[in-house]
Amino acid sequence: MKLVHDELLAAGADVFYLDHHDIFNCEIEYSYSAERGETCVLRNNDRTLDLKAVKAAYLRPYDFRDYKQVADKPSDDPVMLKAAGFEMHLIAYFDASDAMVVNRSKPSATNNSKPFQLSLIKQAGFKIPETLITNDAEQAREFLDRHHDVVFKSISGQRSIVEQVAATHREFLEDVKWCSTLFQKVVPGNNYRVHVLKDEIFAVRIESDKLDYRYGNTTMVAEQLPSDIAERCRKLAADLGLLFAGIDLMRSPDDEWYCFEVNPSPGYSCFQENSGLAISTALARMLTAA
Amino acid sequence: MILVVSNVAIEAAPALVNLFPAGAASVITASDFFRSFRSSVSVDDFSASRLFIGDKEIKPADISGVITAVPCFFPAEFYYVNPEDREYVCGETNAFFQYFLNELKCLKCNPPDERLFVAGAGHKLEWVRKAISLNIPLLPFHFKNVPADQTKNGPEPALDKCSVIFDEITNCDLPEKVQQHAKALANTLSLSYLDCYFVQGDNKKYLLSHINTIPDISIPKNREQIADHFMRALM
Repeated sequence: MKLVHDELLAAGADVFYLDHHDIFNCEIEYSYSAERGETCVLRNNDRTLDLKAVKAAYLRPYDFRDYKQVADKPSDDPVMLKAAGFEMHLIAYFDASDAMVVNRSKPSATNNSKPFQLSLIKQAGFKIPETLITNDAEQAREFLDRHHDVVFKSISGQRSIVEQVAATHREFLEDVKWCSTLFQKVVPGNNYRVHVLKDEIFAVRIESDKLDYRYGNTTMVAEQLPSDIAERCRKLAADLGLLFAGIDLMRSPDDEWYCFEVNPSPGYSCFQENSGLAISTALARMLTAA
Repeated sequence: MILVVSNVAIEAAPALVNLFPAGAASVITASDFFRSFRSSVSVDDFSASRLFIGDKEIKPADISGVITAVPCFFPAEFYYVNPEDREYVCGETNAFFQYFLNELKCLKCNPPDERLFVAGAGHKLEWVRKAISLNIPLLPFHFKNVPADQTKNGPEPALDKCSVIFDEITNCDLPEKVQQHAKALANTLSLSYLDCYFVQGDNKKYLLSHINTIPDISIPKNREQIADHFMRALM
């Protein structure tokens, strides 16, 4: 957020920056009548913003329940309800608005179900790893026997550390009957993170000592994608309705390109810092163009 | 096979199933998921997935229709899971079912969307602009993120309901023009089921107040109309 905010200020844009940590001091008020049409106003402390005047919005909400201001508050506390209401109404307003919104909530929601998103990824022309979701231990065992290396991860958008199935995990396979579990064949190769900003592509090759590179020692190198893969990334982001997307790819040793996931709210700063790619500049450019 | 996705609190779900020939429809609830709905779903080849409904093994292609009476599952339905794990299991199951229902290519009432089992069940602003574009008169409304801020909307006005089920009007004796508004909105939102609630304004004009997109199967007439449509379309 800070990176793009700085870029926007440097570009002389008229910016209303709302620190999500200040969500507990925010109000949103909307009215509609046939005579007066719509009005929608956001208030934050002593600042007021007419939302109808907003031409572009970059929304990056976090889970405010994690903030220290509300650490000891139950979910039905008025402060929590006010924050939840603010977030819900603000997102709904921008979903329905004519402004450029990075990103709207509906396309972003595809990331809340990994198989749902994988299905859309496949439709966009990428290969996806063999994936089984089951609550049947026998079927899980069969899948594990068939594939040498398999990982398991959450089905939902809940962040989970991708882990390889080990012999010790097999002892608990019967437990899948309580909760359907996602098993995925490991695809060997090189990880790529591709940020798509409408037509612009920023690709980074990642080398890591961990299966889940987010939790390992990694190096990142900016790299040009083959043109057909770059085009496929553009198509995928467009098909999903995302103006800004972080796409996780794997290039296999036999030069097949697999796609694991599309992040609709990518945290790009570490990729920018490690690769030198000017992602925030491109993001600011896209927002100001609106 | 027709699936009725519901929960144990909706007593009307078995009644809906009973309107179909024996064995043609089945209720799915999260409360008996572990014994009556076993699934092995291949994301890369959905058609090859294996499903067990009760003791019967079926393929996805055997599911010819889905009637969804709930927007999602709720943690309390997973009583058989440790309390501290229920929220997680519920989230995982919802994510799986959202995918599963989207992937089934069959008749649906209502279809799911990106945000779980029933499309259009989100924020009022999602459909308001569409209603305006259809020239449907709307009841003025106001909202604010301050809890218990009901004052500006005033007392609850009397509501008249108009339901659209597969493009047919039911439970409604409102003027034809109002019925057409409900139908037009259902079509625009691509919904096979829609309840529209209208308020009669001072000038006798009907103003749309709010909508419901979750099929209300507690009403016998609705159940009959939904079952009739599925049987005519599928059997």
